[in-house]
Amino acid sequence: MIALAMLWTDIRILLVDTTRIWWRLLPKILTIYILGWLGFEVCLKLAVIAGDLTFWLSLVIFAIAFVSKLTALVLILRMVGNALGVRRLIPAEEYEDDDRDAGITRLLALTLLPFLGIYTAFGMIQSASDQMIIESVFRSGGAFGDQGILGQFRLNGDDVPTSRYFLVVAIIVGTYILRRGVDLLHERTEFRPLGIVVAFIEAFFVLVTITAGYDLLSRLPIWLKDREFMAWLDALKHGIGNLLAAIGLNPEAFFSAIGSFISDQLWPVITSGLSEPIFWLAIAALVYGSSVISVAELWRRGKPLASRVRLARRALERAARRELAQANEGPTVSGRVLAEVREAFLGDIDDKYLPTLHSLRLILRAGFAFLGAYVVVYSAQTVADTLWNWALNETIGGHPMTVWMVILPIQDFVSSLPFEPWRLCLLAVALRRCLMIFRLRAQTSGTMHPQQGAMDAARDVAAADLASRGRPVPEEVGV
Amino acid sequence: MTIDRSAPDAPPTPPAGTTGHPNGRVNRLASVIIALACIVVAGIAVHVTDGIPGDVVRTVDVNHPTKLDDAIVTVTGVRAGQAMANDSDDTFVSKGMILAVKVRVEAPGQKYTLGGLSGISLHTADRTYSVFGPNTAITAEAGFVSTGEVLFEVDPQHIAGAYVELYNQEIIHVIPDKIHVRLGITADNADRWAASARNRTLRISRSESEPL
Repeated sequence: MIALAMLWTDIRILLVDTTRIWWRLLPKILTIYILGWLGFEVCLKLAVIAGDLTFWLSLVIFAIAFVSKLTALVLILRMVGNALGVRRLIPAEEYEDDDRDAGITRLLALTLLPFLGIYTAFGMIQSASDQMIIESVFRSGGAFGDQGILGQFRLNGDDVPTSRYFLVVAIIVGTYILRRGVDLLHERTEFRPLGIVVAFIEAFFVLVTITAGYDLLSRLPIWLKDREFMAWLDALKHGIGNLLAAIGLNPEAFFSAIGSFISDQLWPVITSGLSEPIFWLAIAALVYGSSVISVAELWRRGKPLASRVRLARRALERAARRELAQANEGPTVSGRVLAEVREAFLGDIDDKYLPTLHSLRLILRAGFAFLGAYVVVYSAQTVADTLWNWALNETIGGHPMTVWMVILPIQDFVSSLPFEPWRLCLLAVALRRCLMIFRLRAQTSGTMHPQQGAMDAARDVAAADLASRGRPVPEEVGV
Repeated sequence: MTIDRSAPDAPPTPPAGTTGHPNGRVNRLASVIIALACIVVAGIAVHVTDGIPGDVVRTVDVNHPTKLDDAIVTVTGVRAGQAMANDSDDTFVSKGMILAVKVRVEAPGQKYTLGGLSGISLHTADRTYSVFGPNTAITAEAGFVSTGEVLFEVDPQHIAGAYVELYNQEIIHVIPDKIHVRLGITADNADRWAASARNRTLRISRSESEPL
């Protein structure tokens, strides 16, 4: 069975290489990991203290706590990736030494959305918020109320006041404008600390947006319940029920069994077994930058410069529009404002949010054997982590809250210490394996290198495209 | 820039163009099936281990003193009846059965409350019963020992394997210290317990304290 052999090969590579690189870089990984953890815990403590003064300051610090965690994660992934030579996998003729991929603030901006998205979806933001409730109750009798720090802008529940919707929209729009403003200032002045400020504002923005979006999504089933087409579905269900009753089956029991199978068995299996590992791998792909993703896409498709051209063209077009607007100085103020607004929104979608989808799409096409092997190894790590936590709890034993208040941060640290760094190494190794698979496929099918006579740079293709439409081609542009 | 040749060698996956070949198609189908099996197995493993309760529990028997937080807790006896009467002669008659579990709480260091919000309950193989009556929590001041009977109204058909869960439930908690005390009611003797309870009234007093 070739498929089984491929599966076993991938499992072996993932296990052996991950453990090897983890062991080799352990001191460095632990140093970064401890600093990230320390930053997270200190920020949570500061957020609790700030909660006594003002809720919003507390929320900003709460968001910064996650930036601290993400910074450590990105640095570890990048270090492991460098040691594994992930970027060296790119052929010389395709390699672009783009500083934008390497800058830590750039990486933070790229990865904040999926990172906080995963944290929200798997309840880790809520868990951090709960930890803050505990601390605030013990410190000051509960500065955040029983809903925690997120309670002030949650849109779940039955009695959400209309003013809260306006508040959330105002926060999202206001923070977005603020971030774009600081971002522009950062680009113009190239003052590095501003990049960190942008990352902090971005974290706050993403945190509020995702939490609100998550709440709105969870209200979707309630909204759907009152729609007209649900009556059609009910009629269909009734018809099927009648058919089932005619053949001697209890329709209620039948539908209830299907419902509980999906919600209690199938859905948890899919979410815990598949979605979490895939999304984390997509984040790892983002950390290694658009060059890595683009070249992998190139190998996957078996034709040159497929995706990079698209991304390059968009960037070039935006740059061309910008240059045109600057050169003319002629258009009306409202035209310039419109162009700026369009640039602000489309620029962000191109730069930050599309790469997330792009890397996710890429990972899903690495092949079934790889996917199966990766999911198995990732889940083995998750199971080992759970068992480690169980053993740790059994060792520490149960205690009253006065004791937990002292030992909780340490327990949290020790519980994640052995497996979290290993997991990050696994992500890097899995991504490299993924790239290797694409390259091997390209070699086998003879599409490893661009065809003779084909345009050999994204810029050329994009420039030709722009020139054909009579637009000027800018001198400098980053992809 | 050169390609990293130190990367592990592995058999290449079949190129996309060969999947039209019957062997390629079979191999692809096998890969899909194996990947699905991996996802299901992985998902079940994660789901099952996620379900491991986070509680840390020690299980003991009746008359076995056990350290619980800073206190020492002992279940000293169990009585069964069908009715209860308190110190004011208020009575309560159950159509099922009442179990009175006598608990002794020693607090050598600092004041201790056993139960708190709802930290006392009785569990059987398939049921959970809440505590009721005059002693839903037992508090011992520092340097004192308190003794009281906690009551449970239970179904005599569902008492096999009964144990009481005892801990101090706080409003906010992480992993509280918990003990389970087996009451000695098994599937073999459950009928005798039920028979002994019939038409019997239990006189229940409030918990009493005395210095250690």
